[in-house]
Formats: sequence, structure tokens, C-alpha cells
Amino acid sequence: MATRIFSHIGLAFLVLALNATAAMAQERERGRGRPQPPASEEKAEAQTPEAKAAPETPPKKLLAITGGEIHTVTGEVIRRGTVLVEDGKIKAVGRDISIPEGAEVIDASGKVITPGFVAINMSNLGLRGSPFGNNKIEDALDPFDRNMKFALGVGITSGCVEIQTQQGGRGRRRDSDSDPINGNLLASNSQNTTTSNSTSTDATIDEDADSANDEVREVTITELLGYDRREGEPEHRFLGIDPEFGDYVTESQLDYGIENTQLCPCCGLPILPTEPITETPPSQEQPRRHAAIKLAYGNLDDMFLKDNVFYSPAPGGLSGALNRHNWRRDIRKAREELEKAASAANRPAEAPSATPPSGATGDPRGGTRGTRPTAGAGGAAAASARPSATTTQLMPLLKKEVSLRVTANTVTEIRDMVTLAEELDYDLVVEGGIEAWVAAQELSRSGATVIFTPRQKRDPRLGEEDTSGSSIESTGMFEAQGVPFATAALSNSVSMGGIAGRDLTSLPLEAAMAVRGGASNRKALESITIIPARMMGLDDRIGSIEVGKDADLLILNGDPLDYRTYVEQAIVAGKICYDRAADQVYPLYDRK
Amino acid sequence: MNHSFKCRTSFLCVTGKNILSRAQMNHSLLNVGLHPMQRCLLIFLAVTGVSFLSGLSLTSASEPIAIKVGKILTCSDNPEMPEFIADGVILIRDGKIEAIGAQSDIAIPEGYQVVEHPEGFAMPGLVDCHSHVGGTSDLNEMVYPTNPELRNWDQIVPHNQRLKFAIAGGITTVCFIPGSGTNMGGFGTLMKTGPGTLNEVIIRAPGVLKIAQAGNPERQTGEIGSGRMGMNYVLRQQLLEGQMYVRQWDDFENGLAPKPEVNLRLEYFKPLFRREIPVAVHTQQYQVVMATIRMLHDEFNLKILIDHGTFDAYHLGEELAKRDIPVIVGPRGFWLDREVGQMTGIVAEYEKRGVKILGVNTDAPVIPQEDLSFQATMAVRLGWSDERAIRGLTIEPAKALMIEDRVGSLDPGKDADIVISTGSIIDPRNYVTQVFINGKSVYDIKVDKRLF
Repeated sequence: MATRIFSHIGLAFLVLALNATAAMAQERERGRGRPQPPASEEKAEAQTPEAKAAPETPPKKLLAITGGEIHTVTGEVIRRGTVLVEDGKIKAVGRDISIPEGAEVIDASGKVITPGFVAINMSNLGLRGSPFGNNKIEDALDPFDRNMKFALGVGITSGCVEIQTQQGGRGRRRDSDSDPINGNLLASNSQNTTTSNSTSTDATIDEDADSANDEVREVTITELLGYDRREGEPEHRFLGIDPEFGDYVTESQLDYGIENTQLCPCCGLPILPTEPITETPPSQEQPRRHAAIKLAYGNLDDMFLKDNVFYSPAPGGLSGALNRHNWRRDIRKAREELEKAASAANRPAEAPSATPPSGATGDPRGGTRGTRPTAGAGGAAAASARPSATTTQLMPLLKKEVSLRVTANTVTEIRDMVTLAEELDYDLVVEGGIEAWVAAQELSRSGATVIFTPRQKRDPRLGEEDTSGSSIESTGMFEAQGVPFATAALSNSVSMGGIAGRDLTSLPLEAAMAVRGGASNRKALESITIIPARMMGLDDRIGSIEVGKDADLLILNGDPLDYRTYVEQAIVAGKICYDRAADQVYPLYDRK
Repeated sequence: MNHSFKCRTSFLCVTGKNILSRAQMNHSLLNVGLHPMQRCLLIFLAVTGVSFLSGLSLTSASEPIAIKVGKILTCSDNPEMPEFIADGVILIRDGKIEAIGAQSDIAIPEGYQVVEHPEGFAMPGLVDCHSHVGGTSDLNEMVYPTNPELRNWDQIVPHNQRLKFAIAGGITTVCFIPGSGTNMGGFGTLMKTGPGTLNEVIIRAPGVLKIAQAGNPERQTGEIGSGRMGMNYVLRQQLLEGQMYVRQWDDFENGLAPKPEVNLRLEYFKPLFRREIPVAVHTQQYQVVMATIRMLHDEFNLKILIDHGTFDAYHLGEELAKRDIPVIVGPRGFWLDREVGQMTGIVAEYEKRGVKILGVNTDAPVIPQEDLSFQATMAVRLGWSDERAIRGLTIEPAKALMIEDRVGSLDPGKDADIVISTGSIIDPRNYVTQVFINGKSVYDIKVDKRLF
């Protein structure tokens, strides 16, 4: 995984890969998603001499944006400053920058310059169709998706897209027959299922499935919970379909809690879940897969940023005693594997046999991501030299190269996730966080970050009016308690149906709503720039205006969070990808 | 002033102003579900009762209040009333605005409770012309294509949870209307969002007639009304029946004809055809809005307000402006011409074409009720002007609903529905800190949990 990330960055850095990766590895060690001092100057210095030492490179493409009010995000606001861009990277920022000969100059006097906004949630954008399973995301990129213009027009230059890892709705049971590997994990009839619909033919997966079944048979639920089957109860009670374990509950029911599900309009009594309890146990959901892309309209080469920017368990995948048990076991096995690898690395002679084969970690999005974290991974795999797919997937999480991104909305869910993250020692990103304001202190202490939508609303639970439900003042409390938050729009995609201000293109307005909730303008701007960049481990490339970072820049006609502000020009990787006057996707008019 | 009906034999028009305001307080008690003649009798009793008991208020008189604020946006049409007042003061007595002006001009009399918001903005309470959250959500009777017999004020739940959020967004008046499941959904209610009994929160009932053209009311069961031609015929036939009924009663009251039989199904057409209440028309798209103009305005001479006016209907802006028809845009705010690929701000386009009475709506819960100001925010983002937007949230929808004598601006004599915010409510970074409805503080973030 690590090598893979580095190889991509290395491509971007051309011949500077070795120096740069070393610097970035250090930077990564300092912690993800937490405020960091600007660290790019040293990199830039390291970069300059080598760049000069390559005389055969073609002439540099220079771009200077002058005269604007520069909101660097990580540093101070520079009035009437200049941003100098060289080959898609920021070369210099400041007030007294001499503009080299031959540079293209954009006069941004009276304008505001900010880094391109980073949308932590995007969908149906920049992708043709949906990359599926373990397909390469590069193959699905669409550099001429016109919706990108609407996103660029409000300032979104990069973001995180969720890649569908399986068919069917999220949080829903699927017919186990359709997924022989994930289905029937616990049922005894799992051995009879076929592999006809398998999305992968990797032999490791079959091993995983077998070992999973072995493992599960050893751990009976009765042992696990100390709860014997009562008279008259169906045998399948434990097979993940008890609502107590959260397995068959829909996502909204998980979010809202049973007591807040639909109420009868006549009598006010809750309508109980009507989903039929069938004999078939639920299938294990695959983890969600997220990738970071840039909205580099027209420039395919600049679009791909990084795959697998999070480890995101399936919705509900960490709720319930059984899921937790499996999760702890998987983490423990992966950590053992990690330690084994580390000790092997210390003893060079034995390294080749104990180190995970390069195919498992070095291949970008190789076979590993198409699989799911097998609940029973381990067992036989732990004994063998080759780590299981699950273990391989969990390595970056344990190395803190990626964060665990998990949806948690009620305060109970949030506290559970915080406790688990502290116990198992990984970085946590809480998505949703409707009741995170109640647990702001715990979140702050644990170093977790939150993906938050200020306008998301939920009524409090009866009798818990002061400690449940949404709060418009959440963002103010996050800032006061030191919980970094990324703002997400109410919807992840660009919607052209006519409803204004509630789709992805309302991202800066949603950040304005964070100000309404009590956050400062500065924190609100961070919440759509550097914070989401840090969450994805991409703060060395995007999210602020600093020397050495990608030149993803906006030229705005007003304050970045003002509702009247439009992007005049959006620059992605040093190239102008959007021009308001030329593209004409938003209305053009003269503001009185 | 009294819009719910103007009984020909009523002597309200000759009574003095303060008596009238008392009568108006009572009138909400009287106008629910009574025959007009019965109502006339009751009003007579009430007015005489008031004159006998002069000095004794029927509602408990609240303490007079003086609100001192940093800036007042009056939204007033009165040429003598400035648009903005810096360091202003608003005096409230008996639920009405008593006086308004600069603190240097108006002395606060003894006995007034003083509320201070030195940094705050004061503006009239917001008015939403299209809301479905005033009560329960049984909004459509889907049996008949037209339902003039239906009324929704029996569905109202005053100050319900959604309306509490509405107040936190500054909305003090909503037009609570039936849904668009049929061509004529029934009669809606104009109501305040604040607490009180049903009679206290109703401003006018019947408030508007809800007519829906095209789209939602299309009937799929094989009867007439599966397309626009059929629906338009169904509507015109029903309106013609109503028109005839009201004409019979007018003739009777003018002594020209014998007394007709009371028909409950057509009774509420009386204020409608007497142009005392408007039709709130669910209409959108060019052809549909054109049909609205031709049928409801030109043919039947009804007061109407265009209550969506979205998609490409803004091309009819001049036609609407010519007839002075109000346009309340929403919940959609923009139109994307697929051939051009450019987004168009609908409200801005109407403004450009000269529509004067122009506002936005939420169609709550389609857009949350409290987001009414955000609808204006987006309209401004798409090209509307800030000043018109503030008016489009207050006085313009009040005019469209024909209640501009009660709400919509800060003028002496009007209901004391006042919103205090941290700045212009169009900027989503600002929020509401206190709301007065009928002169009473109903939301105050110093005391209440901040909701929005």
C-alpha cells in the first residue's frame, strides 16, 4: 500500500521521488487529520536544486496570479499578493515575488485567491458509469463530464468519491446466493454455495472463505454472548438477524434508532420494522471504497489522486457484538502480521519469507480491494507465510496511513467508535456526527475528526432533549473543543433538477452554515480545504496554498463564504479548467 | 381589512378603527365553519359586546414592549416610512406595532418592557405562501378531481415542531394549503406559526383556494384528467358551477332573486368570486402558466398567485407583470436549459421582466420550513437583488395573500410580528435571535434552545 501511494506521488514529482517520499513519510508520521505546521518549505528547498540539475527538461510552464487577496488557509491572509505556479505546482507565494520572464500572468486585483475546495463526499462526478468492485478507478475517469464545470464553478477542484463495491442498496441484506463468499458466513449450508458469481478468482479469497467458516464454527454465539436459545425462539436468532446486532436493520433505522423510526400518523405509536425476518442469514457487507480525484476538466492525466483513501467498513459493520468480535480479531491478526513483518525487516536474512509478497501491497488496487474483510480471516492464514486479504487491507489502517471512516450519528454510536479506535489504536473519521456535539470532548481527546453537514437535522429523542438530536451550534462547539471537522454538502452529487442550494454545488454555502453554527470563517474555510485533505492523507498535495503543493487555485469575485461569490477561474494542477465568462454554466449578471 | 368575507349587511365598514381591531381579534373566533349569516350575527353581537364592555379586553393584554435595535428593515410601502432605520426603536402595544422610528425621535413611554439588541437587525416576520406543515399531513383527498368542499383548518396543529423550527428561521406567517393531488385540493388557511389556540393562530380561513394544474394531479385511472386538456376542462367546469352559485347569492342579497339553497360544496366560492381571497395555483412550465393566466385570471376574473412558476415559465414574466399577478417562486430556484447548458435564476428572470409582487416559497416540507430565507439566498446568488429579496420574504408574499394590512412590514397598526437577527437574514451566516408574534416573544435564544 505504502509503496503504491509513493509510486503515484513519485510520478507527479518526476525525478524527485526518493527525496520527496522520505519527506512525506516523515510528515505522515506526525499524525493524520490533525493540525500540522506548514511543512512544505523544506520540501520545496529540497526540490529546487535537483530541478535545476535536470537540464534536458522542457521549458517550465509558469503562471503568475497577481494582485489578489490570498487566503492560504494554513497561513495568514496575504493582501495584494502573488502566487507563482511552475509546472502545476506552487513555486512561490507572497507579496514581493518577482515574476519570471515568459510567465503567463493573470491579474487578480480585487479578487480573492483560495486553494481549490475539497469535497469530502462526491458522487456521479468525473466518472463515467461507476467503477465496480476491484476495477481500476483510472479506467472510469471521465475528463469531459460537464457536471464538473458546475462543481468547479463553486470552487470544488478535488474530492472523495465512493466506489461501489457491490450491488444492492447499502445496509440491506442481499440474497446470500448472489454472493457466495460474503453470504452464509455462519450458516452451515455455506459449503454448498457455488462460486459462479464471484467477482474475483483470486485463490486467496477462497482460502479466506474456507478459513472463515472454520473459524466461525469454533466460536458459537452462545459462547460469545452467554445467551442460550430460549424456548420457542428460532434457531437463527443469532445468525445476525436479531435487530439487537444491527445486522438487518436498515441504515436509517440504525441512524435514527428504533424509537425514532416512523410513527403512526393516527395514534402516534411507532411502526415496527416490517422487513420480513427470513430464514436466510444476512450477508457480510463489503467495506466501502473511497478514492480521491481531481476535477481536472479536460486533463485526464491530472484527475487521479489516490485510491483507498480510507478504510471504511460497511454501514453497521462495526455495530453489534458479533461484528465487534470479528473486528477485534481481524485487527489483532493484522497487527501480529505487521509486527512479524517489522521484526523480519530487522533481521534482513529472513526477510524474503516473512515479508508480504509485493503483489499484495505493491499493486495499486490489486486483488486485495475487490475482496471483503472476511470475518473469519486468520485461522489458517495466520499460520501461513502469506497474510490474508483482510489482513492486507487492514495494514494501512494500522500503520496509520489511512483513517477508519465510519458513519456514526447517535452519541452512543460515536462513543462506541471512539472507544474502539482508542482500544485498537487507529485514526478515526466519524461521518455524519449528528450528535457529535454531545461527545465533542471525547472526540477532541481521542483526536478523531468529523465529517459534518451543518444543515442535517434530527429531532431529539423523547426525554433526552438536551443530549440528543442535531444541533445547529455543533460547528461552534467543535471549534471550541478543538474537533477538526470537514463540511459535507447535503447531497453528494450535482443536481440539475432545479432545487437550488442543496446539492454538491452548495458546499461553500454549507460552510457558511458552519459559520452560522458558531464556527469562525477561518475554520469554516478549513473545513472545505485542508481538513478534508488531511483526512485523506493528501495534505501534502491539496487543501492550502503552500510552496510545493499542487496548484489547485480559485480566483473568486468575493469572500469565499459569501453567498454571492462565484468562481471567476478555477485552476487545477496549474491549468485553467474553468472560466466563468467563457464556460457560462452559471448565470452571468452585474451585481449592483 | 376583513378579508375572510365582507357581509353585505355588516356594518364593520363604518365602525371606528379600534373597535374594528377588536372585532378583528374576535373574527377569527367566528369565521370557522359558520354560515355567513350566522357569522354576521355573531360579529354584530361581538361588536356590540365590545362597545358595552369597552375597556375590558377579551384577550389578556400583554405588557407593552419597546425593542431597541441596531438596524430596522421596515419593508414598508409607506412613502413616509424609511426603508432602513439605524438605532431604531419599535413600540408594541396590544399585539400591534404602536410606533416605529429612530431612538432619537421616539421616547419610550413609562411602563414599557425594554428589549435591547444593539447589534441586531429587526425585520418583519417572514411570510411563506406555500406550506404543508401547519398541521397533519393528510393533505389530499384523492376521490374527486375537484374538491371545493374541502378545507384544511381542521388539520392545524398550532405551534407544532416544524413550526417551532419555522419561527427559528424567522417565519411568522404561513399559508397552509392542501396538496396538489387533485385539480382543486380545497381551501387553505393563513395562520401564524406561534403558539395559541386554533382561533388565535388563524389569520384568515378560508385563506386561499388551492388549484393544481398539470403534473401531480394527473389522473391515472382512465377517467378524464390524465392530460392537460382534460384537467383544464375539469377545472373550468367546476369554476363555472361555483361562479353561478355565487351569482345566485349575490342576486339574492341585492334583492334580485329568491333565496337559493345553501350548497356546502360551493359555499367557499363566495369569498373567492368576490375577489376577497386568491387562488394559490400550483402551476409551472410555460404552457401551464399560460393556461393559468387565461383561465383563472382572464376568463374567471379571480385573484390568483402563481405558486411555483418554475421551469421555463419565467418567459411569461411580461404577461404576468401586465396583469399584476404575484409570482411566488419555489421550491425550485433555477432552470437549466439543456440546449444551452446554462443555469438560469428563475426569480431574477421574473424580476427582469417586470414582475412586481415577487417572492419565494418552500413548499415545506419539500424544503424545510425554516429554510425560506435560504430560498431567497439562492435566488440572490442566481441574480436577484438583496433589497428585493428582503421584501420578497415579507411584504410581497403578504400582498400576494392579500393580508398586507396585517403582516409583511413594520408599520404602525400592523401585527407586531418582528424578527431580530444577527444581520441580514439573506446571508446564511446570520441567524435569528428573537421572534415576536402578535407582540409576544415566542423565541429567544437567550432563553430557548437555538434551533436554527
